[in-house]
Amino acid sequence: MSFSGRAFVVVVFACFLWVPSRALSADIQSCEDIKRYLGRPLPGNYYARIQDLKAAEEVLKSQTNLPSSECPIWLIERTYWEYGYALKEFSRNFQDPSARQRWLATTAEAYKDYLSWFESLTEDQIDRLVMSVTQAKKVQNPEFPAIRRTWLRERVGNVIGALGITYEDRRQFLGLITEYQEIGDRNYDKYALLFPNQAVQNWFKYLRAMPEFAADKNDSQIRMSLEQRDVAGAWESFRDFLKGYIKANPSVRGQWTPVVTKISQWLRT
Amino acid sequence: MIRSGIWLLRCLMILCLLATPVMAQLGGSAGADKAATATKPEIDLSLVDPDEPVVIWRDVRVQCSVLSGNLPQGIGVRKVTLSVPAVLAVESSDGKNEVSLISEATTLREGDRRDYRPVELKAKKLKFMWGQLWRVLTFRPRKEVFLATLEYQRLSDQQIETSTKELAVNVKATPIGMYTGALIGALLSALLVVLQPLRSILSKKGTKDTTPKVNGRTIANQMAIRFAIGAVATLIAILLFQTTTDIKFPVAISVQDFYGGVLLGLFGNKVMEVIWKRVGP
Repeated sequence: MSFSGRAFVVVVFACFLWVPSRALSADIQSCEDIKRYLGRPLPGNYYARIQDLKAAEEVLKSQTNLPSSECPIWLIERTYWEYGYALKEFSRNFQDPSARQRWLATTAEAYKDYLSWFESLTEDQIDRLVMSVTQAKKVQNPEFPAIRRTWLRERVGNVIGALGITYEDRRQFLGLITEYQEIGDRNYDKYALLFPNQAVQNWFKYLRAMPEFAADKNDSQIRMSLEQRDVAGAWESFRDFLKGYIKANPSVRGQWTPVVTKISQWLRT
Repeated sequence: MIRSGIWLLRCLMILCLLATPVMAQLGGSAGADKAATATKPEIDLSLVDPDEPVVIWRDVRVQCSVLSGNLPQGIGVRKVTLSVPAVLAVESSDGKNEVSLISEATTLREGDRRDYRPVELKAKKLKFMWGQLWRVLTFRPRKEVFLATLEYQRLSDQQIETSTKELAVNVKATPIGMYTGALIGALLSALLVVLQPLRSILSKKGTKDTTPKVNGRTIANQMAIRFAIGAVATLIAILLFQTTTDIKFPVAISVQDFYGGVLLGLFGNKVMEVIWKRVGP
């Protein structure tokens, strides 16, 4: 074997030695570390994954004000998403209700972080995100708006739905209503398109059980509960959200238009 | 009939009165047992071979285990680190004095125990020792402390806490340090033996015999021989010290370190005689 051949074998062997030694450690201190971490299979142990992703999230938060060391947008999105997902899966391990509730509360915080980061993105940044994760080109691609919409509905819509589930699992139905209401109020245009229909149905379901959340109320009971100012406010927010939601999602017009009409009647009386 | 009934009642009352403190004690001990079983997570630290003496600048192996205690829902082990005293001149495979024992966080259920693989601490290479070589050679035996730290999260309420464990070990001086001292002692001894006749020679200044000689040899020769005897004799003695030996040396060395070596070196000639008597023809 020639000298260059032997050198090649040595380099390849050294690479094999180097890769596993790196793979053992999840010491995350930079974007490069996060990229390397997410580029390989994540730990099967969800607790380990949570600790690593939390460290990654802290790195991302600390680098928000450092444009020179800006992380790729897809890396930030994936980190926030994976962190919420790992917490959700880990919280399933607990039989003890109080421990489970605490982990679900942490999961909800992680999902809220994801959404507040998403809200901070400009339309151009969202385009770049979608292009990098779907490999779709924006320029001269008539299908790009549809690809963008589908991806955002699946990804961000999934987070919205999962956030509601964390409240449902904790039996904090008022929290679910308030959270969805705040999301809708904060960025109405962005979210009207992204809310999954299942999440809107859940929102409606728990509004109907307000304020005791004991059972679904009939129309006359709902009308009576509207005498309470906070209940009326919650219905009003939902109606306003629905108007935009129907406009952005014509396929569900038939399901929600009668609801909007009914809520308007209740609120008038 | 009534009287016997009253007696029976009295007996029952006395029995009750006697039984109350006993019951209270029993109840108390049960409560105490319950309190005693409420254990927090602990870290356990020990030498892999406790009979093996810990010597400065020599490999040592330390074993670490984590006991989860009985916290409800168990614990999340975030970090397990071992701090090695820098004075020992040993290091982990990545060249650090603080060794991380886990590559990723993990969970332990109530009552679990996790033993981690022994930490192999290797003696530092000589090329990295120049700054502290003199300190290592002149080290005097003393206690040093390994410190293990466990950072864990209570899974029931997500509170992060730490637990530490110290392992105090008696660290011995390196035989190389003792031999260095012995060489210095032998050199001093050689100088002393030669300087004494040299003084008398200097007092005969102006006589015909100007070449200083001791027993017919030049001073330089005498000094070299004396030093060589001391060096070899103390080397043998120090090697014998590493195992149990019944050889009685002319000087009792209670502490086997650099200064003990100097003492041995000063009596190098006598040490040679003792060794020669035992191992010679």
